[in-house]
Amino acid sequence: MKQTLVICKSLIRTGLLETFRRKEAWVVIFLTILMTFGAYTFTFFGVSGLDIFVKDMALTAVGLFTTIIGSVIATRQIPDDISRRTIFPILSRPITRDQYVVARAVAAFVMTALCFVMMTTVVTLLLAALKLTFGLIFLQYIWLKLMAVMWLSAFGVFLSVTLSQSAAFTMCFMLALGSGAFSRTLLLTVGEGNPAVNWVITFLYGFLPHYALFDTTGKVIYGWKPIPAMVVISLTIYAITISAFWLFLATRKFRGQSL
Amino acid sequence: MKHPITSIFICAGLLFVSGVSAKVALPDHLIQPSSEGANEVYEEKPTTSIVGEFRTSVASYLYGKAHEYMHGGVVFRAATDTEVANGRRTASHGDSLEAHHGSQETTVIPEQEFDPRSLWGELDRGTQPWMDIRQHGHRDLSEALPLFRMMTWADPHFIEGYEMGSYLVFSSAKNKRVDRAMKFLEEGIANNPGSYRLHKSYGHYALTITKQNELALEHLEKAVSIIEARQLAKRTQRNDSMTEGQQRVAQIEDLEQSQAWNEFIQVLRKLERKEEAIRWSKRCIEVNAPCPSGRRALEVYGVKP
Repeated sequence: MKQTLVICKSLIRTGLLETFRRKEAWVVIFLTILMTFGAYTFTFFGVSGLDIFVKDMALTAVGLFTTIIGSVIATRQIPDDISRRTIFPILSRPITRDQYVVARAVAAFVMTALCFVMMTTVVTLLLAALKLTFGLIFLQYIWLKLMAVMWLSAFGVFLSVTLSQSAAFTMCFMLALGSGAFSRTLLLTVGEGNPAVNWVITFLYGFLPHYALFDTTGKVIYGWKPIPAMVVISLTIYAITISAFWLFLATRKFRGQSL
Repeated sequence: MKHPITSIFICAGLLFVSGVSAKVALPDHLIQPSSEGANEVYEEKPTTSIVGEFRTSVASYLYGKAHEYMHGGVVFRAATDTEVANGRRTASHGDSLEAHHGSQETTVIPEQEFDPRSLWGELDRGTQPWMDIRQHGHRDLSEALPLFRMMTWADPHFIEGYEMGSYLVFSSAKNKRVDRAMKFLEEGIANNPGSYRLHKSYGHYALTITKQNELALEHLEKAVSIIEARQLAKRTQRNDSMTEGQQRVAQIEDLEQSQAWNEFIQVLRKLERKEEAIRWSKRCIEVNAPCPSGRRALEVYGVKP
């Protein structure tokens, strides 16, 4: 365990350096500011009372760019090491392949989480400057988003050892971003068919990616009351379990993979 | 990409230049389907169609957003006949706001008794905006108003935007700012002189709120004349092959037209224009069978329908 943590720490450090070297974090932060200000510029044309619209745009931008950057980071961790051949010196040290996969997923999680926290901080300060604030539910939003990022990192790493890098990114991004739409569409078909079909659909529903469940943007921007603690705890347990499940599959797949 | 920030500025600059070009150099591109000659322009200039689609899409997106704003982010959808028969909850209002749900609507996220997902359903209702839509209330309607301003800027031919926006301007203000609502409608009429619905709404405010009967007559007469001019085309279009959605739209149209006729006859009676009231009442009964105002006018004037 201690050894895995040491490896994680080392890979997180190099991963962070890589993310900032590529300037990805700065680009998404800049785009988030641009979207927030873009929404606010309507006030310059005499449209007032845009509080909810500006908050909506700001948090939508944060959510969207977190998903993009999270998918990019998670799905490039292992393929980049393989294509640059840096994986050989790493694996020549006394670490197992399982430890390497877990460390890469943890590094992806920390990097994406850091980008998310940076974007959230910038947006919160920006909105505060525009005299717009969020309620207590915002803290739950941050926590649940971090849980979603954990799922995204594990899922992205699993896809990256299963598919080619570009296919892994596309699948990861589409399934994360479209998870809400897929779930709703499946739900729409329930109730119209016969009970047996409904049962199958409900069963399948459990296997869908539920990234959208962690997104409380709607409640935050409209100032709803904080979410019940049991819901947050259930989602946290679900996030940990499902992330462990994807990492388990990723390690199994990576064990027998030729490099 | 070596300099992403520079690239973003270049993209933003190009967007600005193309926007200005579309506005200044390509006025044809601003023509919308309801404008005269739009079809010919569409056939000759495909890019016009694309720009028009974009503007309409932006307006429709903002209209959907405004609906969400009024309900605190809760997303609605039309309920199916099976759902209604099975007892799914459908939207009704618990405050002073009059009808704004076009048909029987329910929430996208179902209520517990109709949700087969058990725990997943509970989590969904816990993290997403959801409420019991029976006798539901609305947020401060003024929060949605800027969106109506933006959507009618994006698409000046978006009739529902002007109609609903003016209604919200009127109903959301504590002191009922009918002057602002009518000003908004005036802008809509200037952009869409052929819309009977906007003339009807304007006439409605003039007749029932500001009591400007002459002004109401002017607009309601215009509304009825537009309906009359389009009646023949509409009759040939409506038939049994219509889908359920088309039939619902046709029903709403019928209701709107019926209201225009009724208020037109009411204002004629208020202005004591007996001959015109009788003539239009007979016409109303002829084309619009129920026509309660027409029947009442004929009864009062002692004329047989």
